[in-house]
Amino acid sequence: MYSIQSLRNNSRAFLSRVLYHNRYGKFTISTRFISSLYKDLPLNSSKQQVIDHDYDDFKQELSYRFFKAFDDKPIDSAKLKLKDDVPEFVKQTGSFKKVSISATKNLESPPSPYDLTMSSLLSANLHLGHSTSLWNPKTSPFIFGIRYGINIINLDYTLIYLRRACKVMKEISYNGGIILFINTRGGLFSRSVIKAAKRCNQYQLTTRWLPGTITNSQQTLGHLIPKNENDVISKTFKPDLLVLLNPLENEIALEEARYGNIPTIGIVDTDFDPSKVTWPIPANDDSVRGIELLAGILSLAARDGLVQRKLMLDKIQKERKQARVIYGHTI
Amino acid sequence: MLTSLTSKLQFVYKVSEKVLGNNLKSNIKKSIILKSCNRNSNIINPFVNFRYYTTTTTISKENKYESIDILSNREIPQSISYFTGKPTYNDLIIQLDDLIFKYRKTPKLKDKNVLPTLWILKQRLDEKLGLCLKTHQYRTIIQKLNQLNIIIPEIAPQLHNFLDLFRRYDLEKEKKLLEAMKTVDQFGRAFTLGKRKEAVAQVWVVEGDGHVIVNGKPMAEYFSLMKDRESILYPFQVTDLLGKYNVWTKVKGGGTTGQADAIAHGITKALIIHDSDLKPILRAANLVTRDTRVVERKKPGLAKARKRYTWVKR
Repeated sequence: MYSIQSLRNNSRAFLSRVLYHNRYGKFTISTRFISSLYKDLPLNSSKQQVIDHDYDDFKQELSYRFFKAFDDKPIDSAKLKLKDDVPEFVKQTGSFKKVSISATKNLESPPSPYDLTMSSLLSANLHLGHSTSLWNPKTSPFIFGIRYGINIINLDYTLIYLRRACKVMKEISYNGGIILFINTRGGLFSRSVIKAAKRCNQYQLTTRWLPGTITNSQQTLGHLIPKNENDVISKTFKPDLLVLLNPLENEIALEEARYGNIPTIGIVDTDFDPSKVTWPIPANDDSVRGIELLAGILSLAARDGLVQRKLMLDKIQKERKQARVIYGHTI
Repeated sequence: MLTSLTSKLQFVYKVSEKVLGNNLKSNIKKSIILKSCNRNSNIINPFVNFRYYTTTTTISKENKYESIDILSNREIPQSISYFTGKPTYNDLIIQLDDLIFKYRKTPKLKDKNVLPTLWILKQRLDEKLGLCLKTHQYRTIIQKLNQLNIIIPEIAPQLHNFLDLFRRYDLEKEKKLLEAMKTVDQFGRAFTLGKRKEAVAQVWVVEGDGHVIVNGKPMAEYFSLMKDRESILYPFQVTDLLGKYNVWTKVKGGGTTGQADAIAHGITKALIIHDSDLKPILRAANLVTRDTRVVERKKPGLAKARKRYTWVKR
């Protein structure tokens, strides 16, 4: 039973339950709440939480066995083919073939933005824009020229804007924010995004963006964390930064970020309006290699911020301990 | 109405003039723009200078720990794919992809005549994960499991330990395998169960003279009908082993003929344990299959299972 007095005491919870965003950005009162006041019925149907121990055990078992399988060292097929009757001095002769560029270099060890060269940006095909018929004139400052019927992006600007975006990433992860890497194209694009998210302990989205994850988070994500009995609403999280690696297909995400006052970093191609995104990076969004490189660089910057945060927190803990010892009371 | 962290802090950034001066030739407009709360504030010129405010310089030392306490004890979602709406499913797929990538160079089985493995059914997987899977999601999981299953198990035992969680055990096949593995006792007895129409018989068959004892009594005393006695001895007749085996049984449930046929079923199974070459002979005599005919239920609108009430013209 929710009486008016008890709700006024918890005014904040009251407001979040009662008011919701209209599509035009204005607050409206939910009619359900008003009808409930007159009927004296509880707002939520009290469903008993069924505690399924089965799937908790299964999940634990799954994760345990997965980590064992992941840490195991399998024998490569090349080693099985080696003959053992070759004398050792023969094995010691010859030279090792070193591959200078590997296909997975950008995935596993991406460069930092201050070690980047123009040639690496060029080789990742980040300068190739879309055809001139699809050109958005707002991107004209970023364009170097036209060749083969497509607009060529000026890589000077990509470098500058990349470094700016890296600074943003670093500072947000230093302050402990939630960063969401988004690319909805699937396949190899999703692999790079997942690696980037894992590198800096942040979050990824490679499937469809659920409309309402920010503005209607109770309905879309409220079911994931079960409610306690005394709570009115369930706990949901919102990202503090969105990193969109294909913003052209995710305009709904951009609008929601605007409503939720969340900054966005986006890869802006020649057919996209850069003013829709707070931190644009003018580059090609169609090449897999390019997005691997950019996601890797941004995630490295975020990881840098994480590391510094940890150092900072350790330092403060030490100072606290010293202070306690000196003054003899807790802070 | 929950405000995010970003709206509390002011984001105003700076780019060093050296970088700009080295890389650009054109003129730079130096203008400062503050972030506002309106929706239409995201119009940005490309050449803009921002300044960054840190919290540590402005706040005094006393409040330093408070602000950082707020930041250090912040709750965050557990799984990497929280914002997809289906974190467990997406995490599973990520795990399977990682394993496939890790074991991509290990040697694999090349036999194309390998039987397809039985994977866990969709319902059971839903229960175990606590999800509601769609068919295409279930199929992607099983495609990846099939890719992993091809790898030789001797080289990657931990992988197959992981895959065993997803395997389905066919009960019927397992039962058949167990039956095929059965052997004769240390005393030379074969123990089996025979069933027919609510009657269950535990049967022990041993090499001997040809006696049959049922619930402590000889067969002639227990079964008065000739038909029942013949049906019990029919498996021995068919295989020409009439006076060669002794039978001791415990029978429960059903009626007279049901119990007799149950004993016969048990005897056939026991003979197969003693000598597996007899199976085709017994199968030709229709003794090996368990007779599944049971009393049919009564239906509404009918007097019995099939009997209809008398038809009335009007």
